[in-house]
Amino acid sequence: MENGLKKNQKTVSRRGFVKGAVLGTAALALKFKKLRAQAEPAGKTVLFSAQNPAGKVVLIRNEAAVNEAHAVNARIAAEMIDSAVKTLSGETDVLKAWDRFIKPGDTVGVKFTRCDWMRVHTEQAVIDAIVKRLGDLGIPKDRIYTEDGGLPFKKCTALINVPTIKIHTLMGIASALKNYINFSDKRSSYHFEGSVKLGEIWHLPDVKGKTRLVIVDALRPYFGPGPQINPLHRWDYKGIMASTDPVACDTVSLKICQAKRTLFKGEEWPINPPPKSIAAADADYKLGTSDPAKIQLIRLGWEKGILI
Amino acid sequence: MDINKILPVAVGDWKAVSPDQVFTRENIFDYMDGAGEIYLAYDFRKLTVREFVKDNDSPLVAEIYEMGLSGDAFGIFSHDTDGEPVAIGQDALYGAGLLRFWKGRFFIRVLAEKETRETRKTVFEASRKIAAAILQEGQKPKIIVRLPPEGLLQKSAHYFHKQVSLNALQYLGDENFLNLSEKTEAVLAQFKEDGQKMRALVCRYQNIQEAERAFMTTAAKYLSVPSPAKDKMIFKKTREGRFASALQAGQFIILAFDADSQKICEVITKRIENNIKEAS
Repeated sequence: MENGLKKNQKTVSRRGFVKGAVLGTAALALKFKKLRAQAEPAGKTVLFSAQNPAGKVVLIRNEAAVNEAHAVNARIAAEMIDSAVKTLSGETDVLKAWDRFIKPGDTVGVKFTRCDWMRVHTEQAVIDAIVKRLGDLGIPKDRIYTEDGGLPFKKCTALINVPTIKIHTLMGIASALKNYINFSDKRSSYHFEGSVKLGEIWHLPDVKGKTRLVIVDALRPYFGPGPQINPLHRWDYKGIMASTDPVACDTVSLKICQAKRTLFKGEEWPINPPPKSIAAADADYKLGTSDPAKIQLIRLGWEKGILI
Repeated sequence: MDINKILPVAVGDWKAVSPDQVFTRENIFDYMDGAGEIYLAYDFRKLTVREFVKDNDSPLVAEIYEMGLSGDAFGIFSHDTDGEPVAIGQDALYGAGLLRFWKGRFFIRVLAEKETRETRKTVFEASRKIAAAILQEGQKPKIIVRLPPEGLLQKSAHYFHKQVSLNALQYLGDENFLNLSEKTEAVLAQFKEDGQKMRALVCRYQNIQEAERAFMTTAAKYLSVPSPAKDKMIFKKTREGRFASALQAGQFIILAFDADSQKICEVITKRIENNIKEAS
């Protein structure tokens, strides 16, 4: 019995497993598409296509951003970030685009995600690309802070929120809204009831109003049930999102992860517990929009497997 | 038990890096801030983490979770059931560089950060060594063994005690209307009947009185039946057009939900009830 596998069983790589799931559910995806078309009669609002959006999210994907060994191409990641920020700002020049959000006089905190036990970190290439642009804007190194825990946010005049996307066993989803949990000294208290109070962190005196940009590292998100990483539940989505609206970002991320879970299992696999933080961040904390009908999602680049 | 007798110091060319990291119920959040609650919901005692390195390769990490009872080692193993079954320990799953298994009072994870032919081989070798060093096997929880095999979907059964585990597996609401606690045993499983899938939750309480109390609150809060008759099955059609039901059978509550019809709830519930009675 090679490698202890039971007789007649083959080993499975992440690639093979996911590919099998994708092929096996191709028919299912078509069925969903048909069902969705039936459920959305002509004239009905199309989700994530708001004409006068309350929230705007740019999603860019590039097939070459992550290779077969799951390594990120830093140059391509940087290009994706620039393209997303340009599109979000409406500027064609990259520095003018960044200048719409961050000023040379700012002290900037780049709040990334470092999660040693889950291993779903913000990619270094993403952090480096952002820091480079801050330097290009004329911000000296001593006014750029890049941290996860320990970011001196009180010193910062501007924050750039740079989370990853992962389904969280206690909170539903951990992405843009949850990335600021380190700013609170009562972190564990947000782990329950769908993290419904997470939005209050964004109203802490030293945090409120400082977030100028949200750049979501969607290169390799995680969609599994936890409590710890199972590499079968991580996939190379090869995306970057840019927005000024963390709630809209989380709404888009949730939709993508939910679609991925359904595709993986070949049947509905709801995210448990449901992340109430997203709706609450909209309704109670006024941090952005969670209504897909009020979000404009601008899709750029690679379309295959976009899931939204 | 001395973990050093279980964990190897080397696996092939991969050598252990000392010292090990050790975590208990008091400091598990230092290792996994954001998921420790799931382990604490079981009778978790101690976690030992040993890292193995070879040249410039990405490390291999072996984690040994020592639980108070073998049922809880199975329980934490059953939280995530994705992977290919392999013949190591009492149950094992492998996929993409991660091998998880349980044996006796231990739940083990061996992870290669990068899956290659060599790291896969090493992960299997390390797991086999660890499994062989754990001499005593454990019992699966009786409540799992009592599930009727007919219609039960493979790898679908999750064993747990508390509401936090239930919510992570199948969210029924924030309120703990089932009165789940460390003293209750629960199993969530998926069944297929007439080609349709549905889920069942079986909870075992310490005595009939506790089961009765939980049945009353479940009937009222989950099924909107404020005064249910004892020993009668109660039903509800959800807003989504699905069916749910509940039945108290002695010290057990059987909750069926996400079913296509009332009849399917009835069939599966009766099947579970009969198995419980036979085993009692």
